[in-house]
Amino acid sequence: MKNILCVRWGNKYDGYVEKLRLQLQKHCTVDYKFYCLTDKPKFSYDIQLPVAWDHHYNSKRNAFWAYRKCYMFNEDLFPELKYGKEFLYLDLDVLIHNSIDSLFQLDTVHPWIVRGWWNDMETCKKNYGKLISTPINSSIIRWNRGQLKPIYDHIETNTDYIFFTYPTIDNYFNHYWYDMHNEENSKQLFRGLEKGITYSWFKGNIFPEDMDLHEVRNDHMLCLFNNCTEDTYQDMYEIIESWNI
Amino acid sequence: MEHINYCPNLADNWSKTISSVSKLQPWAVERVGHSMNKSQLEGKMWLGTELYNIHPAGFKNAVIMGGWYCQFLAEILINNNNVNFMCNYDICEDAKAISYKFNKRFKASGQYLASTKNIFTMKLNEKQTEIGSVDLVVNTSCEHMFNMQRIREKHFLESDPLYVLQSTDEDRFDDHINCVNSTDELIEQAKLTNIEFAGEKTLANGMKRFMVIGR
Repeated sequence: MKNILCVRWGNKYDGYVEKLRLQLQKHCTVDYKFYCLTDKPKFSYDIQLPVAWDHHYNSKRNAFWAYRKCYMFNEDLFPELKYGKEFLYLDLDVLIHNSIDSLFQLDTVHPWIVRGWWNDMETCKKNYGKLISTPINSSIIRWNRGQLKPIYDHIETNTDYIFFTYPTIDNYFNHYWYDMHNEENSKQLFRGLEKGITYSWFKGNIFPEDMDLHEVRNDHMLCLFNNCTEDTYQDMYEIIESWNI
Repeated sequence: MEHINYCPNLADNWSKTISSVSKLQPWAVERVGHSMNKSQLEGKMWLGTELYNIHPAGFKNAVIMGGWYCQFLAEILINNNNVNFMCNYDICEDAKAISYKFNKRFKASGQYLASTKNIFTMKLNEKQTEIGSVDLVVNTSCEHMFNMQRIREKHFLESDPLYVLQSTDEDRFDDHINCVNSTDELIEQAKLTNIEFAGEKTLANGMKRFMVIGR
């Protein structure tokens, strides 16, 4: 049994959980259980999100700090997740083009995370200390039970420092759990998914050769609708409806 | 102090660094340029002057927080302020590599070490602890990071080093995440109680810098 998880809080993604569940029914044939960690449990697949870190949250400073994703890295917090050792997390704003079964066939010496191949690594290096331009993206994470517990423990131990310092979860992961300067480093926790698996609707595919924006790439497994700010938020399903495909 | 000593060894290290960065790390060229501008030198010479006025005898073992390429600071602390050993903690791998080029002469003499450890959450570099107690902590970019109180509590409750801290009230940059409006605020951020110097200075770039020295 595998566990496929998503996380939802607030009202921004109303209806997205069910649509993700339906996408998985179509594109995942392995034996799995689907769960949504949420602040407002309502459906059979919902699991109550903890609130332990809420009081560290500052809406101005932490507007895009998706710390709630990190609770699931301590699977023991959730009795519902006591079965199975394989986990896959998907953001709600991902579109599945093709079967995701192969994500469960990856070697799991290290957990996997999206490598944003659309990033210019020179820009990432230039901006490393500025906490912007990270080459990894937490929209999709694949791990085995316990592998990401060090992240949970690290946040638990350094909550005030981490909430104060990092504007996004990806910045935090990039500084502590991924070696952007040596991506083959076997000591880093995460490995980045290979080219050709994911692309970004708003940012492109592979820098510099395939950077067309707002382009459907049906040969990929997943499309991310990762975007930067609330000001530029666009509803993923409204975009998809406009494709006429 | 009114200048740094542009001696042949320094000239050799710095000119080779700039040549190397241009060829091998072109994305860092602009930032290296910024690190060497008039305001950067003003701020570091101000530090060197006031620290010397208070403690001319020098220091054995210094921690530098977020020292970036550290070309001015290493030259000033080692040759003006009689610092025997310093470790520059900067999380950026590029900064570490470039700082070693700028400070090749000090690395060779065993006086300069660079580390990418984030000592807000990690231990000090082993080589630094082998040398003995830290007696000086310098952070000229407090606006870029969490309160220095954390560093005191995590590493230095027993050794009680001297702190030299600089920050600014310029908050229009996204990476200025912890600005202050006064020296009192900077003192409070670090929970310093024994203040030996507190002052402010407007640098050539128009930015106001605050500096406090104390324990």
